[in-house]
Amino acid sequence: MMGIATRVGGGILVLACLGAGAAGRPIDVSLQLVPFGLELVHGGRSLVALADGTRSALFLNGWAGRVNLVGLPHMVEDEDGTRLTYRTSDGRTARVELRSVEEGALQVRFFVEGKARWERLGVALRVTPEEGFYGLTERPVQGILHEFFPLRDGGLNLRGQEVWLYVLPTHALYSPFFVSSRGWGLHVESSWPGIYRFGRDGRRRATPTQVTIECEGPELVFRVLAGETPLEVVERYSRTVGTTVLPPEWAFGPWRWRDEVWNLPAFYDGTPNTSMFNSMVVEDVLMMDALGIPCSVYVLDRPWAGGSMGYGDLAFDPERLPNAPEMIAWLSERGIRSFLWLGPWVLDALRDEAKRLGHHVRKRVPFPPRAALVDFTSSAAVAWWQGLLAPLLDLGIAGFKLDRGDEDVPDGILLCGAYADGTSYREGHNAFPLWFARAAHGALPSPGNALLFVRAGWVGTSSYAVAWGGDPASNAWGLRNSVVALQRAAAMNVPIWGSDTGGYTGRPSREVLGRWLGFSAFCPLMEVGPTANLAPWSWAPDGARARVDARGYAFAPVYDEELVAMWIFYARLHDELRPYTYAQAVTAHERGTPIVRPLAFVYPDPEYVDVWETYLFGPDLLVRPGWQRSRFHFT
Amino acid sequence: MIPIYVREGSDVDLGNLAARWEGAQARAQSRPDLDHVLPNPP
Repeated sequence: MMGIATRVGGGILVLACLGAGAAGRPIDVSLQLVPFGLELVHGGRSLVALADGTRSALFLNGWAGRVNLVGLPHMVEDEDGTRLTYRTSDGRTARVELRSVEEGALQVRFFVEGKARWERLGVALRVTPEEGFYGLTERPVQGILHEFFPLRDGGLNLRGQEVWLYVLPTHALYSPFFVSSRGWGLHVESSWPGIYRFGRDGRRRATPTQVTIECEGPELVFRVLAGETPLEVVERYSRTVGTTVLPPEWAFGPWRWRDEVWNLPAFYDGTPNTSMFNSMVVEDVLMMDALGIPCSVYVLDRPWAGGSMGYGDLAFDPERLPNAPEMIAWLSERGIRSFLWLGPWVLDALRDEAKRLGHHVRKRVPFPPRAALVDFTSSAAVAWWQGLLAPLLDLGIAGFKLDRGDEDVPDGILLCGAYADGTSYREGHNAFPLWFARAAHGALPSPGNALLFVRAGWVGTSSYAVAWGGDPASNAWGLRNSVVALQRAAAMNVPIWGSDTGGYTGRPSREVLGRWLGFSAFCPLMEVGPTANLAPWSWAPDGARARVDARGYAFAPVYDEELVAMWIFYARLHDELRPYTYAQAVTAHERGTPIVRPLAFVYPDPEYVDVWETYLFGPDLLVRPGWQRSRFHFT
Repeated sequence: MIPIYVREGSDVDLGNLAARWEGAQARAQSRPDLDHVLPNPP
């Protein structure tokens, strides 16, 4: 750790604390004592300032209003950095600590004595009106109903948005980090919920030169990172929190998934299923093979087990998935790895056992009924839960789809309480998806040849798992959101991402599925649905009632030649890009470089700040998914 | 087809995309027959 050397310059203390920054150019920090403020200067260019006009840049926001730092501070400097002690405008004592924690990064720690639980600690940043901001959340707009009323304007650039850093389903990747198009980023180092406002205030009034952050928790600790480009800042952030897991190479081939696999007496065309396995799995594998559609992973979603919710006993349901061990072996012989759905809760007898052993979160889970959430902060609970997965892994399951973990997790507002390790429900809400993934990762016998695929994530999750983009609407707007989410994820150190091709909520039109196939071919992961348990060879015409369940097809399936051709075309392209994509994944793992790069990350030109419809897939491919009819114009 | 641009000098070779699309269409037109063509697993 480098200390902070102080020199006086023009009435402002200049803290030359960050050593050589990007490209060997120094990063200087100027400290203004009254009102408290900081400015980061890189190569003679002001990057960003902690500033709020005549008020202190650091503040406390409570029910009684804003509390500022006032007067001259008491200042101490040593090899640990600079410590300032202020009085607040309501007579309390506030402490600010500044230190260089790594090359090109300044850490700020701020706390106020006597802070009430409901008060939030905040920082105001002065920015330029032209710059864009990226990261924080995969969710392009706020609100739990986003999946049904998706974003129709803007998206990748956070400017103009108020973001609640509070994990919500189902687009549930979150990270308290954002990067600016001007080559700096900010990372809040805690899992406490927060509110981030970009170029607007809490009353929706435009404040083009201001970004504010307010966080719960006993202290506000954040670091400001600088780099030559936004891409370099993302790399620095990734290396700070831990770069992505490196999946096996096979993960970058095409995947097949159905929301439910029904075991029907006949295939879609009426041919009796005389096999010993689930009819839909067999149909998918044989048809894809015959059509030359590569498949490296087959995802078995819930319901797959016996008991409640098709999950209760964590053992294969012999009616739905007969001879599962042999089926997994059969898939494996064909080079297809089997993935299985997992949730963070247990049901039925396993719930009773968890409660008897004290391995459950004490707060009752609203959904599913009579479930118990596993307390992943308890090493004993983790070991017990991992033991439940061992028989599945012994069968040859190569990975798990970790669903949920973002809903029905204690919020800590209505009911106070804590997890086994003492973390309060409030502080732990955002961290829960990380604990879930970490526990599952620990169950994998050979992580180098297995993989976790998560919906929800927090800082650090990508060190254990890759991600899929929640439950997007099965329409053009859901596809649009997914194009944005892919790039948001890239900014958040989740570089290996895919989506439910065709969407999740509802049934896509054939045009939407076709466009989504094109998009997914140029995502790191290509998982092809859609939800309605259809395949392009068993398609229901647009507008037709398309239900497939235990009673079979409620419509006459149509072999859609064009859709089949598009699946063949894009799946093969994706598969042939596998060495290229894997090489990018290695770079992401080693250096933190995202695979997908928004243009603003690479080209420091203001005209790219709001571009999201075109992105770089690795350094060599520029792609523009056509998410909507008549949006193919390209210059 | 979505617009795809390959950086000049890149090792990535996507081949003749138009020919690939024609090949995919021909393959789709083959309409595999689960009843007569495809073997069931054991």
